[in-house]
Amino acid sequence: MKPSISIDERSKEPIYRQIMQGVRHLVATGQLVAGDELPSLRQLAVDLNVHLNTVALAYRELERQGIVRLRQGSRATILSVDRASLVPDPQVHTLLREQLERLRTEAILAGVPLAEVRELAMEVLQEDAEGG
Amino acid sequence: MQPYLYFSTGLIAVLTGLEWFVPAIFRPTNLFGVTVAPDAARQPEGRAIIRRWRASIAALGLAGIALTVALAPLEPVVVLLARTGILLVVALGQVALYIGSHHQAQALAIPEAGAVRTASLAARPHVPLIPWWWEALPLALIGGTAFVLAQQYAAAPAIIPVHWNINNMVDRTAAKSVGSFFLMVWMQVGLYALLTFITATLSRTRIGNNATTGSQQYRLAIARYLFFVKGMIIVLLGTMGLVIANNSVTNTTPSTALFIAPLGFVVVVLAVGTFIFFRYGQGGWRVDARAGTLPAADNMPDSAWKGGVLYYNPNDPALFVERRSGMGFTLNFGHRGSWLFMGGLLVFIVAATVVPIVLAGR
Repeated sequence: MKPSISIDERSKEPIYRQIMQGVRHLVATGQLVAGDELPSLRQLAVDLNVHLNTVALAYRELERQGIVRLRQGSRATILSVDRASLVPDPQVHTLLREQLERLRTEAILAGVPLAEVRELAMEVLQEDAEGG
Repeated sequence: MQPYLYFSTGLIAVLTGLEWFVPAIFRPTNLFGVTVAPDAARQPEGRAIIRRWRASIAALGLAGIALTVALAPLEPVVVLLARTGILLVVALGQVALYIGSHHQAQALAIPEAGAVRTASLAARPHVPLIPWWWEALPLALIGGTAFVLAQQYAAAPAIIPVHWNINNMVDRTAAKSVGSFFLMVWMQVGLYALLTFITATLSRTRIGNNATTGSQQYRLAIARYLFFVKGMIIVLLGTMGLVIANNSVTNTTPSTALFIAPLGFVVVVLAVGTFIFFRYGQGGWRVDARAGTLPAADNMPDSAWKGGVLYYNPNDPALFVERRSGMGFTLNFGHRGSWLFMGGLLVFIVAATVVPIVLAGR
């Protein structure tokens, strides 16, 4: 299945950040790997029906974060993720916190004890530490 | 003047027939330019809107035909003006009826359709839709026409016929010149350039949400269809050019078969276009529907479709987009390039109309 990203115009989050989050998610889940080419600015802008500058800004930010490489005249390419050289996203704490809060709410509503959720989270993080 | 009567009434009948089939052309998620649920056209409200549209279109067409026939015995000048007027009223009436159906369909609109948009992150290859070496064929045909005409140029008389009326009588002549003698070649070159340009824009045209197999296949099918049309036009114009030149040299009248050829050309082009259309559906939606991958929307906000006919979206980087009001594509009039394109097309049409008149000015 070809990787794809979605944007939601109704969201409070700026569209360039939604594009960034989409790419970051695909990299984090291994659906995009080092060497994969991203669509040209024009292709993605036309397909998503957003301004060219919005996609350009998203790509530049992804480059600054060490996730893609941009070169004049060629397509943006996914870089191998060297965790040591990654530039942390300044908003990452807020985003992670929001996601964890959502998760906690989901668990409470589903009747899952929070201790179980904590254990599950530790297990997942442990898998990542073992994997690389 | 029977042939002209058949032509006028036939034209109204064709226009009416095409518009009758328009709802069958729409994507299931589009009803008269409004984004709706995929089964909306099969629901009672959707069916009622389509039924009203077809009844109005048929009534308008029949009224146009009846009026054309009723006015036929009048003076030729009055008849000509009346027929032009009737045709204009029918064409504008169809647009007005479409806008009316668009407003009715808004009752079935999905709120905020197009707000969530999806795009594939797979980079599409840069390869052109039509391989460059395919162009050798039409270019060779143009070159061949020019070469054969050049062989006959010296032997042609100083005054050459350039137009025949429907009774196969010469009604316009021109002084022999490179412009008038090679007129068909110039038309070949102009139409070749126009169709090649339109094909080149296809790779940047938004079809559906651009990511589906259907949209890719449709894009390729249309590019090949345009290439076929281009080849057919060049062959047709080339044949006409050669026959006319030969008749000028030998001072004979062209065969009436030459006048039937353009009609045959139109029939073939329409038949192939119709086949493609029913095979793929607008934007290739039938391919996606068969594969179960039909997108819920076409990545364009309804608010940008004025009357469901004109697309105006300054935030959209696409110059050409899939039409919602029928088959093919339309311009994004919010894009600066659209005005350049319209200007260029206007210049082309004016040049194609004025140049032959100037060349034939005798």
